[in-house]
Amino acid sequence: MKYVVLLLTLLLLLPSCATQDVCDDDNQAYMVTKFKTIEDDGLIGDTILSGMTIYGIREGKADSLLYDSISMSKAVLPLDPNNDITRFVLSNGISMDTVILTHSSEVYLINYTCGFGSRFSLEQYTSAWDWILELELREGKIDAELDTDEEHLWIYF
Amino acid sequence: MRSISGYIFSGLLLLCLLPSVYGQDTLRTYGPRIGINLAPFVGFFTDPQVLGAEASLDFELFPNLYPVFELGYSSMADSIDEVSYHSGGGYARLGIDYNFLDLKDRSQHHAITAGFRYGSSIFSHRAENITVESDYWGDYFIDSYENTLNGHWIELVGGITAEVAKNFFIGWSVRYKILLNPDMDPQMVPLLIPGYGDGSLNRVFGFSYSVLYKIPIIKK
Repeated sequence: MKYVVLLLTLLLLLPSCATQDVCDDDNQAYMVTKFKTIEDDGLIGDTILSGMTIYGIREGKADSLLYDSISMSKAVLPLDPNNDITRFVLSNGISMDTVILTHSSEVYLINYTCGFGSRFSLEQYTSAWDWILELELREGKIDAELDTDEEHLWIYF
Repeated sequence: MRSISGYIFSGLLLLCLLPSVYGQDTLRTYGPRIGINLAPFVGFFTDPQVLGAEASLDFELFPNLYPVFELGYSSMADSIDEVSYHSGGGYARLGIDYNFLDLKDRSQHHAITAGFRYGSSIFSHRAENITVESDYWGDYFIDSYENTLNGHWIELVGGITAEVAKNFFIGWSVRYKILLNPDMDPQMVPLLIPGYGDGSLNRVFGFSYSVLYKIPIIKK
């Protein structure tokens, strides 16, 4: 009998893994792009661009601005789950460029409280090279659960 | 370390020699024992409803050592916001129970047991009307997502079995279950793994409450 009591006590001590789920505002996947520049000494540095305007190219829909003439060092951009390609136009009023992203996507269950979200796998990335000097992929997996320090693409100006 | 065949041989030897060695005047009944687990019927009253049935088969192959086979089915349906979800399938568990209760009277078959199980379930789950909202690009919608899966887990089991009438038993057990492949579906974690429980938890507790009948075959 004492073995059984011992066994049951040990079992109850083992951790149970119920978690409290906190949901994001929405279940879209956002790509975090960080603006970079190559300094005179050849080192890579963060850069703040002023007067930045960004919008996505939406087929058959009017343009709608994601960012409107603001100073920023990074942009958080929603990817298009209905297409394999997402295109963003970046402009600071003087220069302009387009970033073209090719991706695959799927839905996945975040958890039972928050429901389903989008998850992307970035396959190709390029730009018109009118203004942007280089693109550097940091993380190709982009999902609806965004960590605070997550960065997916570095854009060099 | 002794070999398994050594254990089997000594086990068989014990089985043959015990009555003569100790000169017991009481006989123990051996035979396959069939049980119905009534615990799954509790699921009928839970929200969401989990429908299921489970039967077991065990046999005192060596003194106080009971190999156990359990077979069952369960299913559930629920809705997550607008998404309707369904999961269901069969499962089997194989394991062994050891009886700690040392009764002087060999004709009594009450038992306090500890043991383990290996469990496996083949099941399918499905979600319908999945929408991911996007104000900017437009909502993304798919009709359904479905996947057939194979779950594996192990259980540590503690239980008590009482012989309430000749060859009739009631028994209950508490089970601590450890899921071996929690990433079986990276796209949709199963809300129900039949025989295990909530697939989003890597460790769960379970219990069983069974009525059993032993078919008396051998008395020795």
